[in-house]
Amino acid sequence: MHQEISGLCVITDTTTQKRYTHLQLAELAMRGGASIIQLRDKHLSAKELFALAVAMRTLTMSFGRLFIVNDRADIALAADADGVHLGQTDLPIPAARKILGKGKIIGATASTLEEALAAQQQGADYIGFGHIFPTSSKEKPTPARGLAALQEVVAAVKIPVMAIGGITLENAASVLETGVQSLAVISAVSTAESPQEASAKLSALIKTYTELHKVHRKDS
Amino acid sequence: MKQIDALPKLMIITDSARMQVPLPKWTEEVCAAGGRLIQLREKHLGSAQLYYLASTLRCITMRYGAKLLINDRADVAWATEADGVVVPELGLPIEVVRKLHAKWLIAKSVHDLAGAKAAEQSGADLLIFGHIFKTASKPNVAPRGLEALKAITEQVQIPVFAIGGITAQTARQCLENGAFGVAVMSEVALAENIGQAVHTLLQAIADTVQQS
Repeated sequence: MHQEISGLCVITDTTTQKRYTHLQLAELAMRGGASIIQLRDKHLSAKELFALAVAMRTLTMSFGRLFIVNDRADIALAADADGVHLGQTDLPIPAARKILGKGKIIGATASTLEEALAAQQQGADYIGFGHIFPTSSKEKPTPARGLAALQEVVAAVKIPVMAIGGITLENAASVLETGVQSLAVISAVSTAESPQEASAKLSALIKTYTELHKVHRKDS
Repeated sequence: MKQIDALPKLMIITDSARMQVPLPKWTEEVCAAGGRLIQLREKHLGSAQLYYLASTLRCITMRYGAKLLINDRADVAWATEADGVVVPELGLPIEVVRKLHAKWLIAKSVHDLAGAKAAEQSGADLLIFGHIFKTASKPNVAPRGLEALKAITEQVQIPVFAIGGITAQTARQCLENGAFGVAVMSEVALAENIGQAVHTLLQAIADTVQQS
């Protein structure tokens, strides 16, 4: 079975910033301690995305971190990524599972408890829940979900939950108090003055809370 | 293995954004009229929508014994058990697609001789070359013409489908200039009588083949 989803997931982004390439951002994020890199670029052709995914696979492997490709299960498989992340308008989970088999990770975006439970039932390995706070990274037609909704999802599903959307160094602690296993960020790392430092701070914060929640679980 | 011998000579490409009927109904009419090779090409759709349409088209094409190819998205082709993939110019490498699924029919879109030779060498089963004639789909690019088509078909061994501005009349010219078959989009996608349009094209192809 694959590594469990936890820690900081950095989605490399080259639309909100132009200083770094996908690979440069991933490297900085991993140097800071990010445990998962997700590659998402809707502007690239399949040819370009595949070439990038191959390079990203080598890079993430050299750091011993997980590598997830957004949406394209074919590219995830061909580049030997650890898995694929599926949004609500991407391939259905069973379709991706048919292609990837049990050995790969399938993450699914959910923005309601119902979607989270459905994704779990369809065999997702983790839930990306959000967006938690208002965000500028993507045009979001839906309102921010807030921490109470996140808490509800964390309590209701058995698979790991990754919180996403508008998470910053300032609000990360409040998100982690819900017991969520993982945080996903785009701009908090990509547009930070030092992506490596931002990644390090977020990773450390997640580690602290993860330890804390482990102690709590043992106590109760 | 690849059933090239049984490969139909008319490839019909979807263009749901410009169609006057829902895609499943259109597909049903195409198949009922004898269309046996359909390419699902809906670049504006998200993967979920593409997947559900592909599943529906797979059911319809299956009933008629028609082949279904998916443009670009090998994962959608795989999940819906389509017959293969059409790799666009900037698509995944052919070898990579072949590795995903050994039995697939893999078509590659090419625009020049170098691209055609490279695609053949990489293991493509068939080529789609164009655009041959002026077409509304590509208003700003000069057509390649029949001579370029002929030159390519003389230098590759695999079947070449001519695309771009194909009508019953131009289909005949393409076949006479070495094309194995033709690929059409507007001619059937925009036809008022879909069945009739398919029929006319198939007839023109059959007549040309018989004469040669």
